Amino acid sequence: MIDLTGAAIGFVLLIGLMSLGLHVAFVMFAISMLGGIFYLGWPATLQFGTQYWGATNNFVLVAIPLFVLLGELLVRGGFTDRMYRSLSDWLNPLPGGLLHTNIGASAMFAAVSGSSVATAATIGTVAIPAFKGRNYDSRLVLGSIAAGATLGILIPPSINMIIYGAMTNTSVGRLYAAGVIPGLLLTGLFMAVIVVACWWKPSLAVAVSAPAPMRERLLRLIDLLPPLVLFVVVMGSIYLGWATPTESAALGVMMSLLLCALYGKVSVKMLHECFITTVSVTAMIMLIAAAAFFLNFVLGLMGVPQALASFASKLGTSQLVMIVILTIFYLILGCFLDALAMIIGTIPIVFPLVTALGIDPVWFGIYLVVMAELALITPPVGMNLYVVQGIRGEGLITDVIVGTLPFLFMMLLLVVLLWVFPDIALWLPRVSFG
Amino acid sequence: MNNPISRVVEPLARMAAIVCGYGVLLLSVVVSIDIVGRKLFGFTFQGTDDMGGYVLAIIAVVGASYTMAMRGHTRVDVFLVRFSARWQRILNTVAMVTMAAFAAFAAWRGSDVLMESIEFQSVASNPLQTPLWQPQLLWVIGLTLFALISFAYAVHALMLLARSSPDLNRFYGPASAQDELEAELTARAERAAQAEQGALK
Repeated sequence: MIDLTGAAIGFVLLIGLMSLGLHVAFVMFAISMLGGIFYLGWPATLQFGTQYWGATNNFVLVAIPLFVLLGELLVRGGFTDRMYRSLSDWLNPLPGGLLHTNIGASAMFAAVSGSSVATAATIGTVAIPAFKGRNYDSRLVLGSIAAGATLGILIPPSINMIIYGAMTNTSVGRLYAAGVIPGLLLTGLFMAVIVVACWWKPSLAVAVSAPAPMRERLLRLIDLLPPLVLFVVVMGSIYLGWATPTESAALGVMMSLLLCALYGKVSVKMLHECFITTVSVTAMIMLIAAAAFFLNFVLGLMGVPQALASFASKLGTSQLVMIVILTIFYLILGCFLDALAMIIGTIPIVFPLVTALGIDPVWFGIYLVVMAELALITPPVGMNLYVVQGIRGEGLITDVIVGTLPFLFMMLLLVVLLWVFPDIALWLPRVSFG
Repeated sequence: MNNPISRVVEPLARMAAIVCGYGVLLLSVVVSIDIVGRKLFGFTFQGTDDMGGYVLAIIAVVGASYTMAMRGHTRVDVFLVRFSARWQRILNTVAMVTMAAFAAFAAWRGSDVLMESIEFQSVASNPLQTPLWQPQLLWVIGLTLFALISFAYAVHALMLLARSSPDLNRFYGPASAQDELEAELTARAERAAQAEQGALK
């Protein structure tokens, strides 16, 4: 049995070695090896091969390359520009005008893409030029893109949910269903904060252009179809029980390939570019995942989950105190850790703690994804901040950071709402899957 | 990128990644046919989920080499860039050496899994009874290549460290968000140019 001091030392080492810039996957592997040799003896660590094969030869995780490929096809299919224009037809009359299109387009793209950075890069390259020569507050423009793009991991499908589901044996289908309402709610909160800001200070967004003729706007509605069809196919096939989440991803790949072909965008070169990114991103994620599964395995043999669980019950902390502590912890961690690495690296320790307190695993999965969204826009290591700043190519990154602040508060508000009304996340999975 | 090792590794790893990509595409086709066939025509392929698992395990290790050549494996750079150039050289070298050790251990333990499957003639628990050594052989080859490539990088980093070469941090520092974005934007610009050319035709 392990004492908790040992576990705490291990955790500090984990964070410390990562901070020194060693590969995240190696650090998780090294901590597992240290713990294994120290507490279980050398032979236990020889299990690494079997664990590695078992972790990567996993049908739940097969959804990862499929969704990365799906997203790549969409990015290269050129649907985003048209989708953006069509959405702006309808969202422009709101106070805040084109800003809402940033959020709406992100939410729509997010619904079919599993990654937030891809969403930020895609929406950013379309949106930033659209604001040229218009009188919008640049900070709010940048903030709405960087924050809107984080919807990518909350609105299903989501790579973060797939990994969380695989590591904790939680149903990915349930996690997807649980992400829908919080995702829509957060979209609404983002739009509400824009409306309030522009109502309070109209100079933030002026010069709303006259809407295009109704006929044109109606005709352009067809540009919203590709993401809509994809979302319906992917989520519908899961909901109807036709396909598992992984199988639905395969259907999604075929659909998006078909759509790209319809738009005349498919070529061998384009396919190869998609393949290279897909394989490289998958390899990056899977190396960390393999190390994390090994860490999970070693910690399990060492009895860490039980030790943590009994620690949590002896401490007598309420669920609320635990969530408040974790929120502060993840906010700090998210400032310097990659969002996905943060989730994967902390699950082996945090998951047994929260389940021991009786927190619902599906609810906690959604909570973790919102914390990962926050990590994507908290400086200094918020990926989305850099992506948006890089596309803009002028001014200071401080503009982007200040611009995301109102949205950051909305995310925290969502966490509070999720806590007070857990059914925001749990109602849909309950009615869909019983 | 003018890291002499990457110049050799990158094109080869790139080709391997493309082959893996076709694997993913083929998998999508097979799984999609399976879903439609199962729902509408009452036939099903056996063991598509096992096949999917093999594809993932293999592309993950084969792709690891390409990701390594592109400096794509996740590292935290926020504190690293605040160290002096000398310390950065040391830490970057440590990162490369430890990665090589990790990959070597994985290749060693992986080959043991393969040997056991051959010895016990293990088969998958699906109706096809795929002999496990078949996918595992490809997996071990991928792991071994990854280990060899990581080893070459580690040796190169050590050589540069011995000479206090300024190239070390350029070759073996973590790829920053800026690098990744520039690559993405260049690719987008290329696509836009192609689209324009297409429109002119």
